[in-house]
Amino acid sequence: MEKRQHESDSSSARSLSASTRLLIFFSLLLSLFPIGCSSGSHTAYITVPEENGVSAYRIKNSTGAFTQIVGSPYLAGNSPGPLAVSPSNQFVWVGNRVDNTISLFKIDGINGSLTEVFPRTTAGLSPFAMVVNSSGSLLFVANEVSANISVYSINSGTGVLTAISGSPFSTFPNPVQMVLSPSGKFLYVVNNTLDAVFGYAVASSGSLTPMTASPFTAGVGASSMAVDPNEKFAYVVNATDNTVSIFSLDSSTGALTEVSGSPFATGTTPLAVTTDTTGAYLYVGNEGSNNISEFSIDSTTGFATELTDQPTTTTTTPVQLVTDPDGTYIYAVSGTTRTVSGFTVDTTTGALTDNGQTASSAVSIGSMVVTK
Amino acid sequence: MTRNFSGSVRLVSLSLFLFLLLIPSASLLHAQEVPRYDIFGGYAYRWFDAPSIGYPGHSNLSGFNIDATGYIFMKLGVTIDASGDYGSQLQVYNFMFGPQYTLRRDRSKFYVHGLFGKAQNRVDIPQPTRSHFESVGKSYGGGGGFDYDYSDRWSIRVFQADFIHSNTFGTAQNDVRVSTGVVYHFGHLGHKRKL
Repeated sequence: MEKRQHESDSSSARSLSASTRLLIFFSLLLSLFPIGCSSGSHTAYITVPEENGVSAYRIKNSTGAFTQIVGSPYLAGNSPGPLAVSPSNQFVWVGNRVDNTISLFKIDGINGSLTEVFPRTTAGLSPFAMVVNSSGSLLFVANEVSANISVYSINSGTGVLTAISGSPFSTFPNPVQMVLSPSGKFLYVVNNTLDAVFGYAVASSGSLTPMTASPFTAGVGASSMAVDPNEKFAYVVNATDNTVSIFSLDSSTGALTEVSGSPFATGTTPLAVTTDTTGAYLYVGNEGSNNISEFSIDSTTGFATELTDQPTTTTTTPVQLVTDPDGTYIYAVSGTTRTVSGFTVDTTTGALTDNGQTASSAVSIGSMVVTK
Repeated sequence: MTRNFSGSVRLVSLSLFLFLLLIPSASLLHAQEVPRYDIFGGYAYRWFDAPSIGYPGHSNLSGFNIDATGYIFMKLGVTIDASGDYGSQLQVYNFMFGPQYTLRRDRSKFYVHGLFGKAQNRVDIPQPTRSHFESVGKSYGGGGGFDYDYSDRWSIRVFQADFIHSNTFGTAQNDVRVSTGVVYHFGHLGHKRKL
């Protein structure tokens, strides 16, 4: 009897010991799961006109790596080109250049995928540029063939567009790009025929009034424009002159005045321009010389000084440069390789380094935006 | 998500701890028979590699896991495994089979297995022409677990943990699946070794 009791105690002791070991093993197993694994990211949306779609990519903040979102590309209208994302990251609008319509997409809050919300909104003929104001209340669409600007008020809950009174507003034929100042007070349209920039004052209702001194003369082949985040300077790249024109921006009227020393030499055939998120550095994508010119900008005078690492930032035929909202990366859209390349910004020097991350498309890329 | 996952971990750990405390006081009936077949059914948690398909972070999925094991020898058998895990927008299925190596001691059973088969994953994203995207691809994995006998016929699967690699949506997913539930035994293969 005592022996049996002893065996039972011994068995229990063994069981407890085994249990403890098992508990440790299981705890270790669970510790393999990286709790809190979700890292910061942005979402990039890229139109692919030949597929009539919008591709979506997750960009990991820590590495700049692109991952295509499941189901992408999402079907849009015929030949989608320009696109804009709402500041709330709830909606994407896409201009369909052959349909002459605007597609509204709802962004899935979990995975960033897109679902189109019908019906599509009528635009002008061949919408080619699109910007949304920082409050997300107005959408501006420049129409290339009809040479006008459609302005829509945005329903903040649904993203549905309603043309404002007076829309569309005329502009000079052959507009090639449109930029809204960060405050939303001024709208600029680059015109390739006149090599000039047309400026418009934006009322709170969205109606446009041409600036008194407009148009503002740029260089030959004016093709793209950027306004710095502090709304002090505007930059226009001139594809034929191989220069960038730098203007000071009047904060009350929006008038542009070329700064001393402007224009500044760039690489060959500059087609794209952007700044970093502080406005201290300027980047110009040179389609002809397959590289990116990098400048530091004097915050008082606007004078541009080329960075000393020039010309090391190479990329194939950059036609659009997009600044990451966090200021960590600059993305270069290639006009020939169907890729988007990532460059890491040295926030101290402004220098760009190719981070080796790319997003590839099966067809040519139209335009790109990145969510905040 | 992190909070939910931490809560799940705490819940599982607490359940396991309480279970282990109860083991010594449980029925001391010794199951001598070694069954030829095991049928398992229970709950499965999956740490799904959602970033591989564009999600910002891993997804915590819950669902079922069933498997059937037939023993050829005392230690070696073949397992057929099926699982389905569900979360917001996501449905993840695996249908796999493979060899299982088992060690039996008294009322405990430890095992490891390798699994090979298919994965079928679905993501619900409404589009004008469809309601979801679905992909089927190869899948393989491996893992193991621990069963504790309650009677000759029934055991509790304290846990089973598997790493599962799948290729769907043109990319690779590396998931972890943890299962728990009950096991039913039948058939006769031999006798267990007593401690």
